Amino acid sequence: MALVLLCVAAWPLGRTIWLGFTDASLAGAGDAAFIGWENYYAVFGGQAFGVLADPQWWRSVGNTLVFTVASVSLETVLGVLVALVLHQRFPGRAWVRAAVLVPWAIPTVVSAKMWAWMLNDQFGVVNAALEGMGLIDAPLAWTADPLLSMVAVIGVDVWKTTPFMALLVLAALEMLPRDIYEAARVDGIHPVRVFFRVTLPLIRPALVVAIVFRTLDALRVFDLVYVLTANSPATMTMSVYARRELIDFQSAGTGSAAATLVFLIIALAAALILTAGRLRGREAGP
Amino acid sequence: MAGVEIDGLVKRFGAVTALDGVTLSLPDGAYAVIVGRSGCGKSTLLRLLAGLEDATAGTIHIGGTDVTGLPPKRRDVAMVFQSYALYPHMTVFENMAFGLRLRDGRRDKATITARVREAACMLHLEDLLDRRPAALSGGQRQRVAIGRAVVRDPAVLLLDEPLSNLDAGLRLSVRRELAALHRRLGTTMVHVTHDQTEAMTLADVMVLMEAGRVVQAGPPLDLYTRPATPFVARFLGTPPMNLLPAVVAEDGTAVPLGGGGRIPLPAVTLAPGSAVEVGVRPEAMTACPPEAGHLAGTVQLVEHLGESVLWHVDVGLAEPVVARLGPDATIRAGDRTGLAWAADATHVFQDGSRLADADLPGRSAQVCPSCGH
Amino acid sequence: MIARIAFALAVVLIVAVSIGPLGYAVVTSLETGSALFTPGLWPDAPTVANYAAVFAEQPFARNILNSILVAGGVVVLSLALAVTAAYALARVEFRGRGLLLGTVLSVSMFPQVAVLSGMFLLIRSLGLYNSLPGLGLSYLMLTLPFTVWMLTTFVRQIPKDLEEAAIMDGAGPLTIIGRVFLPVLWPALVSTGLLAFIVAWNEFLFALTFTLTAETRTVPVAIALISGASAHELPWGRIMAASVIVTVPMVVLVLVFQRWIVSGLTAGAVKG
Repeated sequence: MALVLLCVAAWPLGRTIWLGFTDASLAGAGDAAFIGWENYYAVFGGQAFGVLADPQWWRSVGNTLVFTVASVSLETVLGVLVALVLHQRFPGRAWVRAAVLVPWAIPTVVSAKMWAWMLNDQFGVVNAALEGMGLIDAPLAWTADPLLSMVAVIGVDVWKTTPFMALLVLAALEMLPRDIYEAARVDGIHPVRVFFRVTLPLIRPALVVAIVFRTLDALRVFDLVYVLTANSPATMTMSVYARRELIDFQSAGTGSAAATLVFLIIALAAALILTAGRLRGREAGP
Repeated sequence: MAGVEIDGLVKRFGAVTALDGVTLSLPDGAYAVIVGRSGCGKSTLLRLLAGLEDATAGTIHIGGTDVTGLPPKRRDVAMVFQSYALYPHMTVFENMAFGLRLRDGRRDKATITARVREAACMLHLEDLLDRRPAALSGGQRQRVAIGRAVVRDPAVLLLDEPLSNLDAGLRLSVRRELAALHRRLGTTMVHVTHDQTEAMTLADVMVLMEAGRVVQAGPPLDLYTRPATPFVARFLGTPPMNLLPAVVAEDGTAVPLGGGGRIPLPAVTLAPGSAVEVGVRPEAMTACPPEAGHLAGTVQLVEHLGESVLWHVDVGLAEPVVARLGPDATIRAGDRTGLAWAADATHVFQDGSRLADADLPGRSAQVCPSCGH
Repeated sequence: MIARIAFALAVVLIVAVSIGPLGYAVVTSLETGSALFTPGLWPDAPTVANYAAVFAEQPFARNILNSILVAGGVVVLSLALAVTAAYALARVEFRGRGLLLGTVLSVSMFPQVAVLSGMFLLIRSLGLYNSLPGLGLSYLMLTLPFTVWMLTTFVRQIPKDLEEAAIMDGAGPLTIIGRVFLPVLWPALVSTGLLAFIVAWNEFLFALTFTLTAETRTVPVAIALISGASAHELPWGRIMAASVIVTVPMVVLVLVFQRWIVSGLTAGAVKG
């Protein structure tokens, strides 16, 4: 197992990092020459080149951060709300639970296509509905307008991944002992207060794990953005940028350099989150 | 069937010594109960007998064969696990037949079926053979675990805390069943427990362990009446024996350290001034007027147990002395009383081991010797 | 009473938002021509023309087969590797075990794009470019970490006594794995395998990059690349029909195995 992982994970990663320091192209990577940091940053004749000098790279970093923060926080809030609803007893609960899983079961590409169709500016059902309700006068260009396309990407991601969040939170809720709530009721504490003072602290460990998973996942988002808005600069994320350099521009060097940066940023984020979690844990400890 | 000979057995886990030179001889067909506190090495000893752990030093013989280096399947032993460890995906029948099929693959189906049925009948499992473990009660699972072990007719049957997961009522009935099973099979059985009642009631040979060593082994009543060390003395009996540090006086009695009183000693010759530890079982004591007792003090607490009454008497020592008296003994907390007993009911320990092997001490003296009550 | 109605509304909203888009995709897939371009909730003249077209205009059946082969192969391979690894990680004491487990988990956080060029070279040097085995190999990077992680959690939950009971019964290592371990681990294998299947079935980036021809594409790529006469005239009816075809089996699978998937997810995430 370790050997296989070495082959399919560590080795390719190492190759990518190495390629980032060469002038290779994927067509003929055999005769690549080492060029140092030039793929990252270099100055020729007073002009800067390289990934770090490309405004589009910085824009994609910004896009990724906006996307990650917005979608993960929305998902968390919605996921907890949905989990709280599903935690109640009501007739048909099993069916509702099943229904909630549907968006999660749909392949990302398919959900991106489905939403692309629903958000279609001329024939989409979303615009039709909004117009019907009199909320907008003219159709909105959901996937073309720079601002709206980001909203659309975030919205679709929230739609697709909230079930995951809700599931994890629900599992945590179901592990909580019932007598805590009975004690709170005997003490006459308001339900909202119970949620913030009792439930939330108790499900926090599970919630933190879920948020970490989702954050690291959102930072590397690719297929949703690529299918919904293609290489549009307004929504381009780090992964889309790296792939465009790599495949569409056939520039293995800069593409690999960008990919290495994506890896570093995500590793950094993971390290930060873990450290923060550990410090928090120490504070909360006895 | 076979006896078990254990000689100088040592087991270390890294720096931790779990068994520190255990030597023990169990005759063929014995019901041996190994008893001790948790961490005393009793489970390790059992696992070494089973072959689940390798010995660091020493030897194990089963039925005259040296099995020290042999894997479990070549030792002809079977084991009942504390958690039962039934195979959850197999029916009761399959659970019991699994070992038979593995061992004697060539043996025909009919023989296996017959043996499983025989064992099932013995353990009243006939109606449960098609069920899965999940559909059984705790007591039933326990019987299946026993059945799985006995169906192979092993030379030695090992039982690791077999009753500890059962509730009190069930424990009693399974205990009886184990005793009956042993009578019927005659197999050598080694049973590990932390429960002294289990050990007292089931064992032919009781082995008391502490800190990786055997402290005393023998018939349970021997351990009870002639404990070899203060540890054995306190381990067996509820409430435990009263133990008092004392000094031998000129007149051949002992004076408790830090308190008054004169404790009669059995016929032992001890130089005056020797430091000893004297022990008296609560049930050996009788009540008498304070001035007539070997010990005297104020009753702190009276506990009515129905068939008897426990008096906790403060005799001026660190711990109160506990006496078990007949149900009709009446006294109130705060009253003063004396406590007396026959001289041969006193256990004397010096330097951690038993000194006097006087005649059987016990309840022979129900009458206070000094005042005649 | 008001609270009850609000609660009921919330439930209805959750259900509508969850399954509405899929429902609308079904509706769209049953429409053709101009009916497609008048937003409505019910097809006036339902037709299966789009479904026929999906299979007629591109090797979609072949794409489905590809997806099944790759995903199935990946599941079998990762489970086989992960069971042995999980057994070692959960049962055998060795130095650096925690570190190894942590490393394995960290691989599941690798951004795919970071290994893209390296993986490309690996696959090409093995002569597996534009082939299903090559794609399957690259998917192991995605599935192995979490299958190992989840199965390790499950193996740890199996009491050690069970193995020892089998040893006492005279079973050898192979018998223990085959007749005790795997049967007990069966539900865990199903839920883990199912998650691996979903990951492989849904994967897009590798499939897009490591395949070239329509015959080797998997379904997500095929759907993403469905195009009409011009870039601005996407055949939405056909896209939706294809989407419904690949989604319905997934949804059915997830719903049928709902309980196991949830237990798998929580074993992998919460208890970790």
